[in-house]
Amino acid sequence: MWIYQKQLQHPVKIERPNPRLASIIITALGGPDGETGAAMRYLNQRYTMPDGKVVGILTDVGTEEMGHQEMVASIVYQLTRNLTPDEIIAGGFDKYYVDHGAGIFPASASGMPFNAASIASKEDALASIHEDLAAEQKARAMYDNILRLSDDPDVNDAIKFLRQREIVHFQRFGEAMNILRDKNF
Amino acid sequence: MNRARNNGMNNMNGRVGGVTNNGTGGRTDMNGTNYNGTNMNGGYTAPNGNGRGGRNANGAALSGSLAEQIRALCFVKVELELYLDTHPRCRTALDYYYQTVEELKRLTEEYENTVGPLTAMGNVSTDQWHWVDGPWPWQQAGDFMREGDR
Repeated sequence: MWIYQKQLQHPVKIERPNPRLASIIITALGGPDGETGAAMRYLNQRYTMPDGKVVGILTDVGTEEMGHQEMVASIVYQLTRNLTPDEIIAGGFDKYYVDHGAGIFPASASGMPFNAASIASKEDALASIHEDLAAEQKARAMYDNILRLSDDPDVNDAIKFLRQREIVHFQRFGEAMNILRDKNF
Repeated sequence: MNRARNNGMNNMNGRVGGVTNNGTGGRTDMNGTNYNGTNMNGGYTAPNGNGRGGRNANGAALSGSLAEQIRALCFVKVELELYLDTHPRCRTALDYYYQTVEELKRLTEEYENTVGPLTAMGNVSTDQWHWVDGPWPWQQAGDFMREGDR
């Protein structure tokens, strides 16, 4: 069961629409290292996890990732408001727009719809936590790439927050790994 | 290019400097993330300022609007929940958590009595369902809104 709170985890206030940036940042929602995959990965890994503390961290990080899906979607939503057809074409947003308009659809920057093949979930606890450690690093690297391509301070403020959360999650999953090792998994 | 708007987070300084990749992806990015450590040195305090009521666990006044104060405390709450998951016996974190939750409850009640419901259950009006009233979190006021959001 989940309870929705009507507030973003970190503010998203994008002053200037930018369809080119939107077509890149959509990957943080539906790409191979995006937040949709993150939430699905952790929440589905919980059921066979043999330690309550590790179930707890998977639950709470997975829940936070759902909040990050909402943040990324908000960024894309605000970047694509009130666009003209000329702006859509000039910004390279046309290939997304023709299928979805300005609706939010979880896909990678290259247009591939969200694919569960980009995540993994195994009964083997160590294998799953190793997957999670790698996933946090890959997401952090993806946010680094967005920051290399974006010069919008409003966008970067939110992206830097999301990037920092990957680092904290990596830390907690590392502790989860140590907990499993202490129990000789 | 102003890439460095400060958001108060650590590990961000010097990130992504222009067209070069210097400083990105290296070990220096991982400060404070050695997962054998227990970084619990009071790094979770919300910003101090001239807030109108909210306090962090150190008793300092929170800054910003009521919504911003709640957001700050929610962040502290989430951060402590993750920490406590892997350190369930940490006395310092537990004390900090309960102080944060207590303050959050107080501010949430104030918000829901004056602004609107934060969760559906927080609809305090007995004659109208304000849960469906905007703005929703992705809708910003004024210029940030689309035509349809108004």
